[in-house]
Amino acid sequence: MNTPLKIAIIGHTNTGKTSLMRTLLRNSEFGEVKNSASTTRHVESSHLMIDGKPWFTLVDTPGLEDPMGLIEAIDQYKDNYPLGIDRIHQFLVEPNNQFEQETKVLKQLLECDIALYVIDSRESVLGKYQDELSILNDSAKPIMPVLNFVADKHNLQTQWQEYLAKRALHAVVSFDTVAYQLDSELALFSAIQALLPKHRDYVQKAIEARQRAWDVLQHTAANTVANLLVDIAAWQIKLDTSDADTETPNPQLTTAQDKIRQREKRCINDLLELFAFYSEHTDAKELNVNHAPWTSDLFDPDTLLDLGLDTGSAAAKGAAIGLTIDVFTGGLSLGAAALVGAGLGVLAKHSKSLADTVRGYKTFKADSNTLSAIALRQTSLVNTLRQRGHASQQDIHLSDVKTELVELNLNKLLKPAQRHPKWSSLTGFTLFELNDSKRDACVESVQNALLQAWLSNQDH
Amino acid sequence: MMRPYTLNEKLHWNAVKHHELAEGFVVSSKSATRIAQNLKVKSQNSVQEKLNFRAKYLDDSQFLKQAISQVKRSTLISAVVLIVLVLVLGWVSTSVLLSAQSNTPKNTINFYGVLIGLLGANTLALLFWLLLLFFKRVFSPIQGVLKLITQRAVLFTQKHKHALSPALNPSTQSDKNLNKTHLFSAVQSWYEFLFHSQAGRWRISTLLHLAWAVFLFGALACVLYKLSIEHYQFVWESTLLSNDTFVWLTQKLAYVPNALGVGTPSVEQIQQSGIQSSASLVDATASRSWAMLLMGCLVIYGIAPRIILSVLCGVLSFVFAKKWLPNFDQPYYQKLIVELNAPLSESVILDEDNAPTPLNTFNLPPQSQKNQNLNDYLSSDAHAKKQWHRIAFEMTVTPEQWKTHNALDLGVVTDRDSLNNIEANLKNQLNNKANVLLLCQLSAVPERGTARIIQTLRKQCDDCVLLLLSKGNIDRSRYEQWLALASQTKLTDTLIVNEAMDILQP
Repeated sequence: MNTPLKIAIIGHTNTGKTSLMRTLLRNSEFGEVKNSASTTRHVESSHLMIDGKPWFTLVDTPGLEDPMGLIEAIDQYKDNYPLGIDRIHQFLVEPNNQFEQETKVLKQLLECDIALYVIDSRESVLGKYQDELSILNDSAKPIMPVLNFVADKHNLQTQWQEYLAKRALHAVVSFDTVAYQLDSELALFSAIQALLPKHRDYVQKAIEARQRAWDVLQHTAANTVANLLVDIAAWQIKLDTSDADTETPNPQLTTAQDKIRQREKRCINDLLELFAFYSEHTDAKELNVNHAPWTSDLFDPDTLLDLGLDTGSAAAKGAAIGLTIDVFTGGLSLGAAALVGAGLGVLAKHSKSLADTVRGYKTFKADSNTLSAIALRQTSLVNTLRQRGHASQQDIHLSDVKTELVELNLNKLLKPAQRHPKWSSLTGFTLFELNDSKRDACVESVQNALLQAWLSNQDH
Repeated sequence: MMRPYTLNEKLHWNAVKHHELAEGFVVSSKSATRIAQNLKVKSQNSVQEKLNFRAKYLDDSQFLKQAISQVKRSTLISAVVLIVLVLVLGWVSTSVLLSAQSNTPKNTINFYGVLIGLLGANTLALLFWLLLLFFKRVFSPIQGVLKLITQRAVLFTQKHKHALSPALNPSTQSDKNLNKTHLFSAVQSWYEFLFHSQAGRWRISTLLHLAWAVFLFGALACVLYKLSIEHYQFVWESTLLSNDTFVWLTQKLAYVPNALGVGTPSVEQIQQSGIQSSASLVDATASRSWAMLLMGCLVIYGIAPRIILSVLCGVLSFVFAKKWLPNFDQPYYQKLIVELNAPLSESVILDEDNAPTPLNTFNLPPQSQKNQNLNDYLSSDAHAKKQWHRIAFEMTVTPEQWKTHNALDLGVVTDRDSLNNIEANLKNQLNNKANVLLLCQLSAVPERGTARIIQTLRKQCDDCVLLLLSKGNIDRSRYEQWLALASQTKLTDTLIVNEAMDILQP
């Protein structure tokens, strides 16, 4: 098939047609979304890309506002044209200023391969919607009703399904444009497939590609977070603590904390980009992520408390909150070294660290609380983004992910990283060390654990 | 139709990836979008075309392209050096083998000892290669070693480029600007192709088969040389195998060389060559036949299969290299594809908006009535002694609490027929004098359709008050939209009323 399949998105005004476009296109900047009538007043199309090729042409149309008047205007040709489709054609031949928007919709309806009729499932089956369905029925085109806002507890989904079944519209799909579910999207394409048997294989390719793309997206997100965790777990900083005053915040430690903060922020941006919620025209402020819990300061004891993590030990460290002395290197005292390093090999291995210890240097690394907090915050963000339609204009809320993550025992998986400071990009990495196969294995194990937790969260 | 991309172009994309990752540069939506826009890439362009444009754009100084060429040159040179080395090795090892075997005064050589010495390792290597072909995991430790060699080779050529470049690199001047990251990025890209793609594996196999063929060719040349200038007697011996078995085995070995016209020893000559045979000396004809069999075996069982496999792997490598693409499932590419696809799905206006201006919003009037009940409002001086009628719209039935209200019910506008009936009732029964309370949910969206209903009813009545029903939460912007519609349709008043019929202030 050379030309993309044309899908017209039609429906009453303010039912979420542009929202459906946004969510299917993964583009939160398409058109304008507002809680009022006549928000979209022109016909706008965009390609839905499958494997980099335009697969479907989605056409967003203005809302039908006066179906009662429209049906009257079309019915005036009833005497000469007994067939509904002929009446619609005749109506379109004669210019009608009063129904300019509706005329646009009908033109697109007649040109498309299939029309998705978007319904606000919170609304009752009012007469105006019945009139609209009568007109659409006359268009001789495959019509597929899409029930929007089904995640709303006041939805009247059943009432709509019963009514649509009476009109012999059985291929009905529930698809909430705000609370996104991949299954709903795949069901939508499957329903299109059922209504367009000639294009079955073509649509099937799209279904498979969307599923594949989603799987890749999950893996990429998990990989992004796993890389962050390995980067931070592996990172170490050596500080001169010889004349350190425990009461005064060490500026170097503050800088170290900043580095971790920056790295986490980079991951947030990466995830927002990955899920296509971030672009030149949107920023964190627009998405209200500034107010989201994961943007609160990572090294604030309250943040840890909010995440249900132990703050006692961290709070006692004052300026070094979130960081801990590495007992394998900088924290090794001479006495301990004498005990532990009975063998020359051990002494040789730690000779540089010992020398640094004698000179008053200590090596700090991110503590387990910090790693857990980061894992929780990022997981929370990913879970939110996975279920967020591109039409959503609501704030992002922290989802409850703690239980699944606690079971993961991430700190155990990150142990190898803590023994390899060169695995961290924060150290100013060199290429070959970052491509270390052992580092890759560590990232992979964390990534798999995260994926497992996310999937379990999805099942809940 | 999209043109196929060359291997160098695809390696270039990957080199750009490694360079960006090494420089700590995270793929930024802004840069990706800007690049896409600057390049004026049209919507029908594929992601690959975009990546190609992007790679060229980011590497406009072509450092990475040069680095790739340098890495490929280094690989080629290493391959040539390897070929020369194995050729020499083939000659030397064969020479040593022959010398070791023929240390008797009669220059007696154990035929099978030499044959196994020459083809044994080759056959084992071939079996190992077949093993790798089916069990890819075995390959990983070798990958590590080869990666290390590649890295060191590149570092070596980079370190000694001034000494090596006149011979190896014609574009020395421009390569001076290459830094370590450029080279490492190119190595990584080349490494990914060689060790993470089928094409790369076939390419390595091509080289391995070629190396073995050259090794055996060196051995053949040595055998030919030695047999040309020295006289050897070929014998055989065995503890386990009987004479008959050995004769049978040698005949089987000689079958293919014989079929191809290579002179091979007869049954008598084979029996005569047995070390335990009564013949004290093998005649010269038999020795020549044995020599021909040895060289024939080297060519037919050693060199020929290796050359055939080398050509086959070369063809496969070529075919797969054409099909090869970097792993787009990697996070780097995924982020990039999301960004590059955004401008791809740019929207197009198919039908512009020429319709009349929609309903404007109406600024909220100052608050005047506080905590007033609707019934108090209706019995106030302005409305006293009026009989009110009630019409609901934008709902299927009148809300329960209104059924006991003293306004007379004229019904619910649900469709055209009900609207026509109510209109006729207002006109004919109530003579256009009715005072009407229009009931509607505040949450309903005021639109042209509702405006038409209100206008139709408004024409047939005297006073007409719009009552917007609310459960308490007032959407101010929706109220403003209703006020705009009320103003347009010249309604007497617009009020928000809760379930207890109290008038709410927005």
